[in-house]
Amino acid sequence: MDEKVKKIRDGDILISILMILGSSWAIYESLRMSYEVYFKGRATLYTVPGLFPFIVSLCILGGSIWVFINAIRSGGDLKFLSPCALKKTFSSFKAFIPTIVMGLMWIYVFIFVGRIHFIIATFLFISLFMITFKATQWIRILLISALYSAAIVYFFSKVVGTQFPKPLFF
Amino acid sequence: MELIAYFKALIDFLTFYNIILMAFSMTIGIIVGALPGLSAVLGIALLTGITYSFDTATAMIMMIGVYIGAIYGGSFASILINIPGTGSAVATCFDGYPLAKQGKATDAIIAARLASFIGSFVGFICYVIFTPLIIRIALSFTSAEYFWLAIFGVFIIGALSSPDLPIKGWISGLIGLMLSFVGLEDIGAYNRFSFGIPQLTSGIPWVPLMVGFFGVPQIAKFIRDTKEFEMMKQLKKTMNFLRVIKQHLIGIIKWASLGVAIGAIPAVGENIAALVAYGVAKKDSRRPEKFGTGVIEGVMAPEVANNSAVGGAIIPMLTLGVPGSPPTAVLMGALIMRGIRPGPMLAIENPAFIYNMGAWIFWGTIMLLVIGILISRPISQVLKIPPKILAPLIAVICVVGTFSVSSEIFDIKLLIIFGTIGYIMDKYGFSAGPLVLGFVLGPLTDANFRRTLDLAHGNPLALINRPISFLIFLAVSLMLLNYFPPFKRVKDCILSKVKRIRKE
Repeated sequence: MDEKVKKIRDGDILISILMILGSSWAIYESLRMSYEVYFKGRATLYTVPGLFPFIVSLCILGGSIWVFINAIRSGGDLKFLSPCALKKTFSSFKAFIPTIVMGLMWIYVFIFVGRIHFIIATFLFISLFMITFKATQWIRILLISALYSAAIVYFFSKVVGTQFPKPLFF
Repeated sequence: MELIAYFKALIDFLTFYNIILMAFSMTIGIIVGALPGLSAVLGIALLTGITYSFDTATAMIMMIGVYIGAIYGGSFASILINIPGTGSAVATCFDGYPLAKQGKATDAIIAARLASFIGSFVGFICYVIFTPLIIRIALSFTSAEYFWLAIFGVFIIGALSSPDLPIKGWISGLIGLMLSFVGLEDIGAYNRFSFGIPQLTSGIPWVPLMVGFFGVPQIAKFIRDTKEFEMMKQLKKTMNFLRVIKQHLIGIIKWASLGVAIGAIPAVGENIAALVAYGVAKKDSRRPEKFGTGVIEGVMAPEVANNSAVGGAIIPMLTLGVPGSPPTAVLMGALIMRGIRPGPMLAIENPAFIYNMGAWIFWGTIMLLVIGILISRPISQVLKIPPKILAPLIAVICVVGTFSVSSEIFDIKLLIIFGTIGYIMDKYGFSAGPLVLGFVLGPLTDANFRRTLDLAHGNPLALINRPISFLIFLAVSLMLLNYFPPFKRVKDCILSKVKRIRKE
């Protein structure tokens, strides 16, 4: 089997398991809310709030089981989650790029924003991003980051009227 | 009467502010479209946040400008570097790049521009003609028709956007539906799936979801997929385009009509329109073997079709409340956020908006020609900006644009969470298009499903006992059955028998 297809089938197994769990929870929740409303006499069987979510979750569950079986039949497995395989995957920088990009965005939003001034947070994020990927020379990185952060905050606060969050620290 | 209203809207548009605004957004749109990895959907999704505090007309002029510009802009990268700027420009690569390699990049760019202009213009004409007609039909729709129409949209985009396994597209669409159920429901105001988080009581906010699923994964892919490319030079033009247009006039009309028709099918959009038009052009050509080696109609066909699909996609969005393409799904989200509910009632509640939309498409078409000429050379410089510099700048706009809508840090946290989920889903073939469309159409499905059953005292046949609802139900069923192996086998068997009988 083509390596690209094999990777997709491996991923299908993981995602379908997550979706089977998620849709099972949604089915339970739909039934629970419908039961609650129906027995309180606030809705009929066909107007209960969980009716359509129940049908949709059932379809997702069925579809996920189909994807899971198809992936298993096509030779997919979960060996790619073994420590050895993970080490091999992340040893190439290219495979690691999306994780770095996402990681930097998580740091920007979950750690910087709200704790330090928005301009500083944005400046740090852009600089870190460009330094990590060696975008250009240091001095240019600092210049672009500083000018862009100031410009974007100025534009949004003056033109759009955005109230940026007050920093916790500085 | 309606024509006079359109004419008035066209004249009213002509203020210095509107023209500058359209020119500016068209430029941004062309740049967004030209940069491989960025798309019309991302451009419109970003603008939703940025323009939230602007008045509706200003915001819509900008969004339409970016939409039309981005669809056209995709052709630049296709022709000059053989990487499609947007999904709708994939077919333009087939003959655009070979033409550029022959030293005819300028010819290919001019052909793409003229084709886009003609396509957009045909889209505008069809918008003017068909919008009132469809509104008249749609006014007789009941909740059952709306329910099936929304389901049809979710399933058709699912089938088309997941070439690996259509079921993945359908699952994405269904997940989108589930996400739309979060918060207080329409009929009994019951708080569903909100995990006790107060911010989710009013539902998942639109902007973090749309920017998260369309924008954030693209940033990661933008950096990862950067390739070394050779940029073709733009030399002098060698063709007489008046003659080229005359020569292919019938073809152009055919490609444009196809574009509008495909664009108007709920959720299908420009990408498919361009590919189908390319296929039709090749089939109709007297020299089909030359396609792929650099023929001018190979550039014109997809460009006519993808731009005419813009007008086509806006028609069902405004008349039925069912978007014709992923960018129009985002556009519809932006409208709903502003209190404008697309659908047949729009013609009664806010008729001026329909005429204004026509005017924005028309002037966007004219501006495409003007800005297209001005920007065709500087765009080569834009294409040289390394993605490693552009990506963090776009990421910041995603975050700040989302934050500016509600000034809630919760929204940008949601953005990153959706972005991460979107990236993982996209990596394994679950596209974001059906998910976002499912999210947009979700309220239409749930409320109309229960309303139909309620009015019929629980009789499920009420969902299919009217001619239009039955026809849409049949279309959905056939589409689903088409992918089931037993049905496929029966279909293949019948088709082969028919072929054999024809031969005999």
